[in-house]
Amino acid sequence: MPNETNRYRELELSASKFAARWIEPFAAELDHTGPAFPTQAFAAGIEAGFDRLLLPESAGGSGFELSDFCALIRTLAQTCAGHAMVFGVHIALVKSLSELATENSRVLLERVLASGRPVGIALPDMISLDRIETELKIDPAAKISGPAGLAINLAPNGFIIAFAQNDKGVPAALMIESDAKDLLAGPELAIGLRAMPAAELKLEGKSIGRANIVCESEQALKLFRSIIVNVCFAVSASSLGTMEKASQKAFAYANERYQGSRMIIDHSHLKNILGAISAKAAAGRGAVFNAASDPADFLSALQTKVRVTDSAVQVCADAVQILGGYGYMREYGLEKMMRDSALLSLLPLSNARAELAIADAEKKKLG
Amino acid sequence: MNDYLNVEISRRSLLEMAPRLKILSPLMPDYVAALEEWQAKAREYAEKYIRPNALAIDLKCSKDPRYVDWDLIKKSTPYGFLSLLVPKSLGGGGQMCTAFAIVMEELCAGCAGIANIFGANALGVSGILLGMDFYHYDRALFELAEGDRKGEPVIFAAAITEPLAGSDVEDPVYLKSAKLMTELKPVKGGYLVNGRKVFISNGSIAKYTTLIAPTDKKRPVESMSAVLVKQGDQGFSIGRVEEKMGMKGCPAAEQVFEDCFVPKENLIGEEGIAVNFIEVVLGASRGPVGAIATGTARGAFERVVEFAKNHKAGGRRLIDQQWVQIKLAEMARKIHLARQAYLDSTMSFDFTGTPKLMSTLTTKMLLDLTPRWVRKTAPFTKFLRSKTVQKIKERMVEKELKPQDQRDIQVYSSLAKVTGSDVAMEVAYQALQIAGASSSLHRYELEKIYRDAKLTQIYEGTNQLNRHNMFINFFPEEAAHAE
Repeated sequence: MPNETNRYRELELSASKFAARWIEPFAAELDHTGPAFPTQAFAAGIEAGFDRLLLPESAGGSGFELSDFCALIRTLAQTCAGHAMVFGVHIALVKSLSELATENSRVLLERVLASGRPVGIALPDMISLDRIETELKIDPAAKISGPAGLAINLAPNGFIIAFAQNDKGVPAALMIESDAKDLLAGPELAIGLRAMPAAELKLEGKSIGRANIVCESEQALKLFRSIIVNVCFAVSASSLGTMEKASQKAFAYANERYQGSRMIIDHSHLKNILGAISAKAAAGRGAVFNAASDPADFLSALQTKVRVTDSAVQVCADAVQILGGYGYMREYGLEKMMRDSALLSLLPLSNARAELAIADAEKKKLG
Repeated sequence: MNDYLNVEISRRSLLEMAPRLKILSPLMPDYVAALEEWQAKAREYAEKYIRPNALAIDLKCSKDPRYVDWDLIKKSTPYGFLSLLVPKSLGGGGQMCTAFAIVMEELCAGCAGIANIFGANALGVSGILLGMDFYHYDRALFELAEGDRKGEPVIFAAAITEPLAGSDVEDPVYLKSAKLMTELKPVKGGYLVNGRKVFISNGSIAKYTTLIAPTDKKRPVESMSAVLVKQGDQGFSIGRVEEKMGMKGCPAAEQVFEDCFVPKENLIGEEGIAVNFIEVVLGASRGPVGAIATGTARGAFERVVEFAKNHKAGGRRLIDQQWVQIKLAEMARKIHLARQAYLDSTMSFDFTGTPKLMSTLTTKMLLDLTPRWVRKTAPFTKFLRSKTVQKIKERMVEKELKPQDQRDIQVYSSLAKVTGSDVAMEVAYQALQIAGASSSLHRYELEKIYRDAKLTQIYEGTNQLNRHNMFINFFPEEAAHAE
């Protein structure tokens, strides 16, 4: 568990201080007026070295492990899941690009790191992770057209990784710069995570140049699966931080609000709800850090994301219920958590779809 | 499976949606025909006016929670939804709880937020209606019906919830120890109101509010009373208008009372009877809340079916995939059961509850045979509010309303509310899961429905309180000994 070592404690403390300085003062307002990318907070995170967190020290990184990453994202999410996901997605994609280690991926990764600009991902409308099911087409002249899926972590001057396939169905991973003319749409209003802007990406006959093709064929599938796994960890850790905070708020309210001749926390039927909230958050902690201890286990990453995000959805909805009318109002912050957790359960693919992918993976194990 | 799903649920007739009404149709043709007529009107209004405006209104209200689309409400007046419950002799729709619930399901399938304006209005109206205080029938309720007739909507609200007492005010057991802020202090000629009510749906737009408060805060159970307050009354103002997660089309506001004088005539019924009054009103209103939730769930279902027909995942249309078909069938099952639950509640209320009193000879003589101008004359008004009439009412209640029926009404109303609201949340969440990550975008409407649905588990008594209410009425003896 993360808090058993000084390194974790230091990381969580730094993350808390960072959140207090760069996220807390802006999160509620950004959620209200967004979607908008938190440019300043992101720049401060890059300055703090978040982007290189998972890169090996030999490659100029901090050499932290996946569980450290989960600890960082979880702590940031306790303040705002949207901000946490900005870093979560960026760090996850940097890690995936670095692990791919092809000539093009190295060059493109260097470009991302040198620019200090965020990178996002266009998620194909998938139900399986065995193949890349994208309707985005790429022709021999590197012209792309068609729907690329929901792009998340859209930022002005950022990058987006998208997946396309040629006429023969061979997949390719592309990196699109958002300042390239007419390539990326503006962000759309979503249910939550409004600090991490999203939009459905549709491209019409745009030329991106061969240099922006990260990889093709088997390498593309490898990158795709790596991204899904790493984003799953970002999502799970964000959900964990969100439900922990929601649980904290529900308990605090129940302990000070009088109803029916006693405090809410003293009503036995509400203890059932509060107890379940606490149990789900604790189980979520165990699941996330257990899965993070074996980052190569693709199946475990997916299973954890389904279980933890589902728990977070229930915890946040129940926490709203404990606060009653107050929980439903913006002022108390819980409704934002409920919205954020709902979107987390849909990323990088919805839990219902992830269950199909999990069953496929289990079937494969059976041979 | 495919054949079933190709049936557009929104175009299914009332008799297909509620088999009991098909069975009842030959036995009570006029009753069922009237329900069908109201459903058709509501469906038309929802299709023509609500659905096309739902997203834009949700956005506008996000920016300004005080925003209300008056044009949309005005367009409802020819349909008469606001005055649907008002007796026909006063120019209203003359309908009861079931017709109202059926209307609410249709409107909520379009947008629960906008529809909630009509729901909250009915809550305010039912306070007066079920109190059977004919003084207000001839004034406020008549004005409401006139508003619909003239195209100048008159909105009602009910103010029960307080800053430190939500569920407490709605349950006689909890009320004893509730921390109440609002009080109707008896003074010469009426009451002086001080205090605050919060989260009042329609609170900022209602011309009339049915206000529930005790005349003595130390004895809330014995002194709880209901009065009618009017927008613009001196000492009555609107405080904050809440920024809600969903149901944004209907404003929820704080109502502030500072030495607000309410004349004695504005009392609804008698002083100190409001505990029973709240019970009757909530017995009437929780069934329709079940309908609101059912409509909300149906709205999610209809949209996700549409989405599934037009979107692919894994190279195939979602609607053609078995897992989606089974999830949709499960949603349809839950929606169907939620509908039956609210019909159990509203029909029980209509046929065995307070509305029974409306069809007695005495009531008919008063409402249908006595001209309104006669009822409004001073001597007649005095007579209507006399002890004699009060005694007649009490005798009518004793004769017509059976205690077991009233307990069943409480059970069914809470059951409908809890069932519907849980179904609304489950269906809205499953719709997001089927449609996937893109459904998180506002323009697909599904995320809005998920936000809207949550309120149905909270208002009109939280689902926890309603479950407790079911227990109390299922097991009255055991409830008396509960912790």
